Amino acid sequence: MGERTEKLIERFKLEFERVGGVFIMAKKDQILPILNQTLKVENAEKIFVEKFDEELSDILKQLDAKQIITQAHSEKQLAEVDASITGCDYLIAETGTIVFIHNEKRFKSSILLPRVHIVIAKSEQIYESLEHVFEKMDKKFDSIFLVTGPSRTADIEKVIVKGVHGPQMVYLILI
Amino acid sequence: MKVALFIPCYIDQFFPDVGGATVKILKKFDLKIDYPLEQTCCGQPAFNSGYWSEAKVLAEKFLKIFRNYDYIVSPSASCTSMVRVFYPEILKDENTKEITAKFFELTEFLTKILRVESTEAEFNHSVAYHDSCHALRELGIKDSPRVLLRNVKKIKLLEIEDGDRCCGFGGTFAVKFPEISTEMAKSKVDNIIKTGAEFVTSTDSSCLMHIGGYMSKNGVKVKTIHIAQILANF
Amino acid sequence: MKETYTPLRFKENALRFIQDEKRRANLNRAIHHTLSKRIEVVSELPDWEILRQRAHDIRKEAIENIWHYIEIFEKKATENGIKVIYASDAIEARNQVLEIAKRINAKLCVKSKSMVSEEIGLREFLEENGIETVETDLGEFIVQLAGEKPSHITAPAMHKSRDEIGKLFAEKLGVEFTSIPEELTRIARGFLRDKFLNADIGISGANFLVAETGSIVIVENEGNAGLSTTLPKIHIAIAGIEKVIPRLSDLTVFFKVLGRSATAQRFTSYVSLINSPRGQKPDSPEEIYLILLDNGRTHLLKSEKLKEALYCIKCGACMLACPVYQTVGGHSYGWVYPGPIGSILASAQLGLEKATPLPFASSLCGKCHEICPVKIEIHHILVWLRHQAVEHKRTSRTEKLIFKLWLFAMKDAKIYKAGAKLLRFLKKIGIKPSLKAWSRTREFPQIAEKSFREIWEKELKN
Repeated sequence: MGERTEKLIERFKLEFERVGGVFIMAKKDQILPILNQTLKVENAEKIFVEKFDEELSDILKQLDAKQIITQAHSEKQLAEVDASITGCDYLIAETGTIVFIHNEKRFKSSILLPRVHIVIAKSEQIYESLEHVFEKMDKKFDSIFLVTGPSRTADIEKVIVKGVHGPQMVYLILI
Repeated sequence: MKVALFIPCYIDQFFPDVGGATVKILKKFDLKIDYPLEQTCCGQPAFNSGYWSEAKVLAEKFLKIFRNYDYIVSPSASCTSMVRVFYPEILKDENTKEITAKFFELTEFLTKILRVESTEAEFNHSVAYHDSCHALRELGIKDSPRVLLRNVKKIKLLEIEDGDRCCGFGGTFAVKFPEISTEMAKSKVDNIIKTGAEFVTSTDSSCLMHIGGYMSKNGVKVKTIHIAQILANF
Repeated sequence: MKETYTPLRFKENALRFIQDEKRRANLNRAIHHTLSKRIEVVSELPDWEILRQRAHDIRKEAIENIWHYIEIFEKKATENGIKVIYASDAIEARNQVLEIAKRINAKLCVKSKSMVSEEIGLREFLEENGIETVETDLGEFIVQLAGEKPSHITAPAMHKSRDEIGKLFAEKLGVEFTSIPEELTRIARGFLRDKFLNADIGISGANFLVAETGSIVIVENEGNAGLSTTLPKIHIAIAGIEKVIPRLSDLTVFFKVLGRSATAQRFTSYVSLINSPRGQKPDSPEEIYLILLDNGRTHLLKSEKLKEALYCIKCGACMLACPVYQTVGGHSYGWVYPGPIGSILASAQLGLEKATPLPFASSLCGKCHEICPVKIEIHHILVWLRHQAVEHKRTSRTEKLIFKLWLFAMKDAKIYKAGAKLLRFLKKIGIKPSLKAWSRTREFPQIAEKSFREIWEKELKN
């Protein structure tokens, strides 16, 4: 890992934690125990897992959960899961933002409906700023969703409450 | 250097000592000053109330009176902003800027044109400085009065919490919406009291008239004093 | 509420609010909280002023060339499969929504926050037509339950205390009373989750429309806009024509200034850039409509002075910073956009005859301009509107007469001097002309023994 990437990761971690996200660095063989531990802490039994590459898929198959859904048939089904595990497209260091391109393999509702969202990302996906991501991206993109920490509100006496309509907890596991 | 003095109409009639103090300060720096007697009002009350054609008449008169001076100095940031910021707007004539740009509020004239940081005055009291909105936001006058005040001997200069908040005067606003205006004065006075100062000062007698009017009605013992009167205390 | 909800009642509404100490305390606590956090997140950007200027320049470019960029936007969005519709006024926009709803026999709409929909009274209209319409933003939901209007454009329920909200939920939703914000939020989540999953239509506003890519951009924190624009079969977005910006990269500037100005956040939790309907995606609406609303905006475009008000990105910072808004609260303005910028929009969109008090309800202190992230000269436009009010005879005859007399006196130093002499004479014989509106709460200064000009001539001249 280059010095530049390390710096970006450090910045991302700072910003992501500042908005209430949980940041975890992991090697591939640590992913399974980390995920199992996280699901246990969050008391998540029913989980949705997005389609990953073969290597990761094999790991995720061994997850310790009551029910794993990999093919959602309806949004209602996603509303019933406790946690979702998805990939992402880019990370923005400057703001601690996770960028999702809403394409044929991605349920936007899987990012929003469950009370816990776990994102698995790779360090090469990290960029300094949104400017850099826009430059990198094809202008003919489909819809995009930028997520910066958990769902939040300050509508009642400015008290910050997490998990209004979207997740209460967002985890980012960086490989 | 040909310097003219502009004394706003309400200072002329209600607070003439402020004018006197201004003259005393300018004379200290060996300036020959002129006070054209044809001057009256800069037109701001009409302008702020929407009566622009009335204001325009006075703006034209004003420029005629003051056109041949190198500088025009006034102990009022509010009138200065009227001339410098709003005259070009109502007269719709960019050429007027040649004259209006020579118009300065007293403390900015002292620090920026004369490059003076002290008037060698002495004032053995605690003083809270109130930023007038026109000074602060129309003209960007923030440091000039503070630098001059800080160099007054024996003074204890204090800052007001939420200092950049309006005192609620706003010209005819104070009469059109007296309840709102008074509430704003109340917040300002509460913060002035908190400083524990004996005096509150400002570049503008209009704010001081409002703040002072509220204070005397409500038995607050803090006194108002125009900045020129402190700086002329030598 | 409805009868008093007009700018013409500003003064009496303001008086009522001033006397409501509890409500004022709620409001000012919330304002103070946001403003002090704002200072923190703004001061960490050393180039804030440069950013503001860039944001101003981009908005200026967009508004100066608005029809050009709307054309590009429409072309792109249509290519992407979004149906773009124009609505010249509120009636047209409401009917377009109703028509779509009727076509699919819609029973339930979920709405995310949209001030434009407030502007056209969309929710009330759909309800009148038998379509249940639910606000899903927590603040808006609270305000809807209470049968009120938002008091601020980004913090609609900031005038309410947690106790009030607890009582409201207990009464309207049949839950046990609680005043814990976390609990109240959980209750709303549960209630609204059901609505999201069963809604036929999702209605949203838009923060920006990107011409270059044809994207509808929605900025939010709760996730309700994300859900409203993802779960239902149909998404209808309504946006004022001024929302268009030229390029995708412009967003990076606005994201930096908008979150900081609106909610004192470095970045909001969610941003949706919606480019196309479902297509090959596993979820998303099958159809997306974008209603481009005029409703008086072209009237602003025609005026060199008012045009600048369309730069507004609806962050609401000028409201929070305004000492008048802080004193009277948002509802007093009687218009969907309160505060300084709202006073301009009301005058322009409703016409001065329906909004006359508003341009005058300002001490012109300039705080609004100072805080505005797109540098609109709000206070200068307000003075200009006062001028318009005078020109269109919207001020009283007495006032006009006063200024005529005043000018008569000020035009000539001799008359001015004579007038002052008269005042001194009156004072001598014990008559002091008083101005009740001033004197009730503030002492008026006494005219001095001698005017400055007398002192000058006698003592200072030489």
